[in-house]
Amino acid sequence: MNITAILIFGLIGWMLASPAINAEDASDVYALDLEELLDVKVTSVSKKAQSLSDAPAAIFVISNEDIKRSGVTTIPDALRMAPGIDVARIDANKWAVSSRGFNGRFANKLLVLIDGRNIYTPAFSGVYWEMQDVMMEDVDRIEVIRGPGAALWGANAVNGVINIITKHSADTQGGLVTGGGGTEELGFGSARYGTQLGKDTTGRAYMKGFKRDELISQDQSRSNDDWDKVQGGFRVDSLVTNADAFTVQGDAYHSNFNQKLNYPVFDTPNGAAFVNDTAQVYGANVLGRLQHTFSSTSSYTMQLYYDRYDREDIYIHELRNTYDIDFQHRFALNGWNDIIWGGGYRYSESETRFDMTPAISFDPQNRGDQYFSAFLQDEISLVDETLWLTLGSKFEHNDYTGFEYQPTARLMWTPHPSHKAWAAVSRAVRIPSRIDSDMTLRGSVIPAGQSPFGVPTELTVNGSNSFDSEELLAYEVGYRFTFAKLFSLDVSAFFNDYKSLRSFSPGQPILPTVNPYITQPFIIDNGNSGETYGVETSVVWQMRDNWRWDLSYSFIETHLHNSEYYQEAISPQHKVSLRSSINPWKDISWDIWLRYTDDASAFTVVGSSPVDSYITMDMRLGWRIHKDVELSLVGQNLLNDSQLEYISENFVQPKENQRGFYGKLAWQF
Amino acid sequence: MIAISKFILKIGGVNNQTPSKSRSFAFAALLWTGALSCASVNAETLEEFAVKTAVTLNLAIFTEWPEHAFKSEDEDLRLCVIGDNIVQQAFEQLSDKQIGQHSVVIININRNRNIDDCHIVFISGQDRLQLAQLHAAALGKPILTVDDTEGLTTFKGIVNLQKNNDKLTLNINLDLARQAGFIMSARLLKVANVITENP
Repeated sequence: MNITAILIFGLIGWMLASPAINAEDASDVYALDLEELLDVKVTSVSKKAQSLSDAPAAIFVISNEDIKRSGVTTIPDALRMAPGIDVARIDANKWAVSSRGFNGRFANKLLVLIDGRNIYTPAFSGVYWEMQDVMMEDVDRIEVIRGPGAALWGANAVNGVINIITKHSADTQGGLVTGGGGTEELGFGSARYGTQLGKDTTGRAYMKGFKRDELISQDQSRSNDDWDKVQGGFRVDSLVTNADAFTVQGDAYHSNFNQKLNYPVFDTPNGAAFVNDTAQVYGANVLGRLQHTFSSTSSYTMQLYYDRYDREDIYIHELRNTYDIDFQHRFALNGWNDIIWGGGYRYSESETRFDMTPAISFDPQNRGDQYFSAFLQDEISLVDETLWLTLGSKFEHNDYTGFEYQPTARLMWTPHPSHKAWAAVSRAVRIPSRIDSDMTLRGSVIPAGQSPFGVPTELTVNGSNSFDSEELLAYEVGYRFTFAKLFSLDVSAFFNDYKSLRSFSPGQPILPTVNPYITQPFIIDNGNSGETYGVETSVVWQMRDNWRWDLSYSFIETHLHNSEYYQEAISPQHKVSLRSSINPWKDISWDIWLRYTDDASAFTVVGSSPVDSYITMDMRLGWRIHKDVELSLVGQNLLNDSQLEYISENFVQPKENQRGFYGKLAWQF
Repeated sequence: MIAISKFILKIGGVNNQTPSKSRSFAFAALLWTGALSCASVNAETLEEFAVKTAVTLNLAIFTEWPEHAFKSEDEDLRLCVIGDNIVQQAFEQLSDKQIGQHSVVIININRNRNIDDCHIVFISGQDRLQLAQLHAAALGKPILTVDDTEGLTTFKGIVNLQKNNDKLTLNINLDLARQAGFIMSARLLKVANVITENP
């Protein structure tokens, strides 16, 4: 037992002994007359957004306030607050983010949307996190839904859906200018201005930019992965009539991101070569959404968007255009049936070029895919205001695997406003991406001396047209309890049964007739299966008016039946995030954030790679100098100056996250 | 428990190269936490949603519904609440309160339900479109809509509550109230910011 542990125990004991704030005696307020009520000062204890607390699913909401007070500067870092979500930084500009296991840079079972725009790319079934950014101050909330959301959101929402929702432009009126810098966040700035454009029309425009320092390599040498980005965008919202709301928004960005890559070659003694890549990406998107109301129980939404990115890594140059249209109609059939149905179409085309062949290539180089979808969901009120049954399914057609169905059945029981319980059974699929179907990747090379064939050998991973969807059958239960404004508890448990997970198996070797080496391909197939189960909890405790605790804890057990050659990633079994938010004085806010991540194992193309457990801490001190000006100081990863968080599947060398400090000034007018 | 003990062990065992440094960080953090807790502010103010429920109760008292809105003189007054559980729990306090011969019944309806049976709808934390949809659905009907959406510039509900310098401001769209057949007492209109094109 060391001094820190004693201190922690002491603190917990002292906290338990210290008096909590009392639920105010609400009867007093009804003794006041109207004039007095409008003259009294009101206070609101900071509370968790609970808008989704009625949903029969495992949901966690990260509020604007959470984002601000945690001091995070990126979306992945914000997601570290959520239970059940694995977030690990791979290098300065790459993250591995997943829900309920299977993490990796190319983690493929989590669907992510920004204001309804799907940012999951069919290039590899996953998210290029380094390309995704928003004006963090204008985020209304991030809804993190763990477990299959496929019945509503469609394929690839296998283990979760993340909805990043920005504020309505009416809520971002006026100006905001921020700027700052530090040791890892070398410099950043943003400016936003929102204004009234008409009687019921508001808009805003923003620009932001940053430059971030490189991390450090495991041998403490430079990692050459510093990066910068400039992004701008706008949003206009209009209530055209009392029954029609219209939104148009868009963003454009450019980023230079450096990366130190290694790739297998024959002409070096260790079979690997390094390259310092100066990569870049341009991207833009525009989205329009019309919501029309027929009555309070009937409305439809029509949404269209276009998204484009042009990304040049040294090993792949990809230009992708995505066109998407979605329609959704919600209506009450009668007093006990609430129906949502809808349909969608997406066309996503990509052109690729490969300058580092044979490191990686796609065949065909260019490809366009169509996705059709329809869904129907009925929320049936079995016992008025107490018991609901939701039945629904998504039906989809894609060019890789054809028809897919993804049903769900969910039961919600709220015997009391403070107690809510739910249970669900769902099926979801992860449909193939270009890497599963079209890719040839050189995984490693074996010099003649070590090769079983006695000649130099190349091991490749090859996509296959016969690769089918991965399937999940998920069983979930959950319970939520709230006690006045002081305490809330959310617990969910799941059992996931996976079939036909991705693996690869050796194919027929190609003899050295064309090349002076043997090629041993490993063909992607559906040979893996397995189960995961776990528990996720989040607790909010408003200990005093000015002091809140947020605790989230996740447990996951992974049992996979892996093929000999493909060892799937294993997520940390235990994860803890503990935040303390305190306002010691009126204009001062002070936050501490402790995180623990258990041992994990990463999937790489040459086998699994262990990642050790770690604990770290962030801290933020904010001072409102003036009504409209706030100064903040943030320390990140304070307990370690070089911490390996994850290892990428290929190309990217292991990098270690570093301690960083930055200062920020925010002025609103 | 295993997780917690593992967690705590980690705190001690972390970062073997510079244990004193990391511990001193944690130590300083805890000292601060302890010191600051003593500075807890305990101002004499009331909680926001408690006040909002009390204002809503007063609105019911100082508003006269059109005749057909109640089937009988002692019919329950149905107060529908659309909001999160914090709002719902605050409104529980109004349950069974008497307004004249009507006793208040609280109905939580944050599930896209028909609002035609409500005498009052309190709308909290909805986005602007949901708000507009609810207002459109209540238009002209004897449903007293009360919302607490901040920063509105046009008022399409009958009553809107906003926070200004930590006090509540009552905005009343008198034209909409009249259109729905409500008669609002002078006392209510006196304390409110009245919006009307026909004063």
